Amino acid sequence: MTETLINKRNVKKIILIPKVIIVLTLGFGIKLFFSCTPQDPIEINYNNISVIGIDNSDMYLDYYNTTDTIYSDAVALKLTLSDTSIFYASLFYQNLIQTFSFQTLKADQIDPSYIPKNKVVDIRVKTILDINDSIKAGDDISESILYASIDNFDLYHNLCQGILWLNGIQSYYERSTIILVLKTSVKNTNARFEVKVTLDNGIELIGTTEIFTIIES
Amino acid sequence: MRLTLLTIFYLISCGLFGQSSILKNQEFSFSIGIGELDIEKFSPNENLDFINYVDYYPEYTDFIILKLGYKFDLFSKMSADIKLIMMDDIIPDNYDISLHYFVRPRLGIGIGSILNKNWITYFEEYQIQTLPDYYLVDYNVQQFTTYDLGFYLSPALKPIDNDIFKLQITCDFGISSFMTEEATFYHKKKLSNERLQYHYKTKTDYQPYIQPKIDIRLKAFKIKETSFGILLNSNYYFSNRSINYIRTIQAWTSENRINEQIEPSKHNYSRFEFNMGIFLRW
Repeated sequence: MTETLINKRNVKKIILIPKVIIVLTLGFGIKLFFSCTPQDPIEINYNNISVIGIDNSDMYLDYYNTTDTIYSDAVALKLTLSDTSIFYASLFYQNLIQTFSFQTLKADQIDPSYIPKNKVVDIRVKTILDINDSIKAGDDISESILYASIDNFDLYHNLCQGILWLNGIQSYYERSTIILVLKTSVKNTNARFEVKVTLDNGIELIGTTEIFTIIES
Repeated sequence: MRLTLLTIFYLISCGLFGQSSILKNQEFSFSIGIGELDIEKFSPNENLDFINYVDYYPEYTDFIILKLGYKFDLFSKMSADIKLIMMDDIIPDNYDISLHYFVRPRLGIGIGSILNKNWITYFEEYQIQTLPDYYLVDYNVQQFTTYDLGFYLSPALKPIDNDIFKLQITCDFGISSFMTEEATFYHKKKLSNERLQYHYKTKTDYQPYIQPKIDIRLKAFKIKETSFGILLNSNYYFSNRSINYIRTIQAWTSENRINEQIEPSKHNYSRFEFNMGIFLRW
């Protein structure tokens, strides 16, 4: 009698094994599926503008340092648009995906990428102080502004290229930066600029530089 | 060029290992020698002159030459000569191929093709010297490995042609051109935003040359049907050469583009070669 009961239990255990394997396989499959799902860029909203001066008098653009003293022929501005709002909601979906995936399956740690939800449609630059006899305070100098890519083995481009860069997918950070250079020589001892960025939802972001001291090139 | 070399290897292979009834008096040779360049150089002017930067050293031997030759007679009056030429990099990427038709036993006319390698180096110095107010953004040494491709018509004379001693004198009249090369320089003006880009693209431009050659073969001994001997050959290439090019200057942006056709002055350009080696004929 006892022997029969033991046999029955063993039979039940044996019947359960395939079910357990199926459940584990399903779970494994789901995690594997999400592990292989590429992360979509996280949407950001540009809500902040920063315009600072950088030194472009040397061979290479001094991209990472700020300056308040600029050579008259080497005026360069670093324009940064960023999303300062907390974007936990945007990250929630990414975190959820990560929960359901095998982190160790990734060959490399993929940093998140970001894409602006509202695109830049226009960039206008205005001088707040006189530049020379023909360009006075308050004048729009956008025509004299060029976009410089970070690549030093490249020429400058018009502002449309800069807008394309700002509207593209941004790696690593929830912000985008471009360099603007002035073609005209500044004949004043000081200079100050205002940059207005218009987004496709009508929002205008306006950034003003500090007052730069100009030294003759 | 790879196709040409493959064709040459194929012909040699067919000749060496094939049982061809068309090819007669086949001969394989190996020789080693020296090459000396002599190039007229001009002072830098408003245009970059690439010939000024061709590598050559007046005090030293410019290059060591190794030649692998394969020669054979075709039908009764034709003779083909294929030479693969290597310099000290041991890359067989130079050649001299000719085919002669002997209208008389000692007088013939032929056609041929040559390919010679040249190095043009340090021409970024021109940019640095002529634009002192600008940085050269890339200071790396610039070098072209440019090939000089030529085609020629070649009268040939065999004053002595017997089983022991053979002397052949030819004089190639041809045209040759350096193959196209491109170089780009980026400049940044000191204390200024201004950026410049200079782009050079050389043009194929065939220019005449003359190249007398002398070839001597002396049979040393014979084993069965195969003869062994020594050979001496020498040639002197002379031409008035220039490397013409298109220069594109762009300032600030790529929209501001100035294209110019530049034809620098012609330089006296000569190359003397002397080789000696061994051959086996069957």
